[in-house]
Amino acid sequence: MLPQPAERGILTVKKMLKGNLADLPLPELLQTLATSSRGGLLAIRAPGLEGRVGFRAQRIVMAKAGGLAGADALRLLAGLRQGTFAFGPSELEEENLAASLAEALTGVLEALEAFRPLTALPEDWSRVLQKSGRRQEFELALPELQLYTEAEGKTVAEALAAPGEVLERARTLNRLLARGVLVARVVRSVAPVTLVALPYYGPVTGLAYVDRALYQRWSERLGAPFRLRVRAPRGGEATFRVEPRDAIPERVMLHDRELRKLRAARGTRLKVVPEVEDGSIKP
Amino acid sequence: MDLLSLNALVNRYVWGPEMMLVFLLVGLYLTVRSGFVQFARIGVILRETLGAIRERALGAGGEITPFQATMVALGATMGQGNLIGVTAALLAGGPGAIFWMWVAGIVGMATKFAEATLAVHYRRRFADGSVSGGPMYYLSRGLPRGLAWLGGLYALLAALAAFGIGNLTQSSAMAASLKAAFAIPPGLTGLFVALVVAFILGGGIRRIAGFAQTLVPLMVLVFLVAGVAELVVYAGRLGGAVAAIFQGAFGAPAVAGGLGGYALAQALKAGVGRGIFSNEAGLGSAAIAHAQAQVDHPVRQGFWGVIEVFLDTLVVNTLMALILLASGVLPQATGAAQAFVAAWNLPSGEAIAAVILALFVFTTLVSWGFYGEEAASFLLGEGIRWPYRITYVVVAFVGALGGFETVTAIADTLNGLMAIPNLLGLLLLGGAVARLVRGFFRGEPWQPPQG
Repeated sequence: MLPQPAERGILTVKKMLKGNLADLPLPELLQTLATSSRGGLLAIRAPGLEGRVGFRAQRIVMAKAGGLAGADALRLLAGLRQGTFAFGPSELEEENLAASLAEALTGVLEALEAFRPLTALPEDWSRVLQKSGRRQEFELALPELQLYTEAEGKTVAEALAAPGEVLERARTLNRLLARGVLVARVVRSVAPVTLVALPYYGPVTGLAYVDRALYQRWSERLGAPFRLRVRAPRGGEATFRVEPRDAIPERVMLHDRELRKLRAARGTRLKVVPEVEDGSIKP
Repeated sequence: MDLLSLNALVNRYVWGPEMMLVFLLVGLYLTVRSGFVQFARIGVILRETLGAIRERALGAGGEITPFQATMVALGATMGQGNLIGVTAALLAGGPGAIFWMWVAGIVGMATKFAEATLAVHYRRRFADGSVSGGPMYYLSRGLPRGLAWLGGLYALLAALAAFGIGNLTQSSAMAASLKAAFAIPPGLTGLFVALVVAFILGGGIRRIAGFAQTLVPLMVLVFLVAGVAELVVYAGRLGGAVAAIFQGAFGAPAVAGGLGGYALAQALKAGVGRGIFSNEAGLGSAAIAHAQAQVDHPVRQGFWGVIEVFLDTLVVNTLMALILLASGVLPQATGAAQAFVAAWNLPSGEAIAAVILALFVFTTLVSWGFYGEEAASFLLGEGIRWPYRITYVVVAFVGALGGFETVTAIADTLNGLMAIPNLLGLLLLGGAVARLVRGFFRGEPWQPPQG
């Protein structure tokens, strides 16, 4: 999880220049700021990622993004295709780049070119990576397998900012996404709600029914198929497939046997939260 | 043949053994069609009803909670019949009558289950969100077009019978009891009853439900506490009382041959009669209250119908019978009312008996007022509600003054006649009950009938 902007001091930057990376790409922006002979801090904010670049005496002296620092951070920031920036005078807490301006800009340009063909990577790096769930066999090389096991539930930005060579990770992730081994889903969190248990009976188990209006709201909010995590007051917890049903406002219908497994009964107040299928949204 | 003789003749049939047999056969038929619901689903029924008693309303159609609807129904069901009626059954049929009362009550559970289920399934929902249901609706909406008039007939009988079974009988019994115990003038009792009933009925089903959900459990609690205290007093004779019920069920063992057969017949007749009529399963009246419940599926309210019979017949009637048997007052009894009062061998026993009787009859009076009003509005539209309420309240006042034996006798016959269209409807709608039960236990959502 990224630290909050306030923790990082970005909001304390006295803004003098601000704009959008779509209008002014990172290499031009860095060159412009470095050659303007003004020292200060460039704060970059993109979906799922925040970064900072420090300038002093016409040089780039510091870069941080995600958990990365120095040249790796600059290469990661070069992959951003959307985001906003703000530049202002600020004290730099440290220096982690010793390269000349030309060397730094060359590195950024090379990274930019390396990212360009990686079209399976989404522009929105806040998307959450999930196993596709397709019943299909994949042959994975070792780095792919490693990333595949690590990436589940992380955002694209988190997966790219993990320790290791940024561009190599970006290429590996791009392959996994292109082959459909992983999918990058838009995820919005939904607050848990308390619903009253109502049992249903019959042969079908593993299913939860919620009122049609609530189901509709969740569908619109999550934009993907979801399951329902149910927590009972006495500690029982389970996930269920979920379907809408008419005329059961403020209720969640669970199979009688499963309700009893949760040590709950008709009338018990259950905490429920929808989770994108195969995902791991935390309430 | 004059009107009274004709009434007496019809009355003998509608409350007689032939009709009892019809009640039992329809109950057995519904037991089969519902998949022996009162036996096979007893665990589900208990979890869905008494196990969820603190649950709030579901908000899925209907006006009141399932529990409130059941309390309104129980308020009507529990009346003199549970107290003086049980006493009369024991006097007529001996201790064995109680065994047959249980048997008839268990069969009646399926009948009441079907009534409550059908009441919700065929109820009407109006533009203002209110609902109306009961036998008049399931008969008119569920039966083939040629028989839909049975709904109107039922409504007519119920609207008129409410003045007798629900009103005159109850207010006069209450006035007589309070006069005997506390020397309260009947006119004063009548005035008090009329004012309170007017206030409650004036608030519609929500106020009636609010009243019933407080007073009916309180009434049952008072009865249970006093009854258990009474049994503690008679603890030494309790075993003998229970043994007498089982021994008497198949004829008195000491009596051989024809006399034994006569005793068995008497026990059967008195016991089955109490088991059928005390809980009103088959009369259809309670279905009018059950129709008001907020439930997602009619079968869920049907479960409350089973519990209603359980509380009425198996709990309250049984406790009353044990008190009477253990007290030993029956052999010297000069009448049911006298024996009922004499059985309460507690300090202020007569006062306790009077208060319990007053509570039982008062709740009956209120619930039957609602039943009659619903039946009248089915026939004549919403505009009849206030005129009906005012008439009902006036009758409650004059009923306390006594002297309406002829009217009461006719109303009693009309009350018995209500069972005929209702039982016929239940017989013809057994398939609908079976489908609803099957759908519910397959987890299928309820599909209300169209039109």
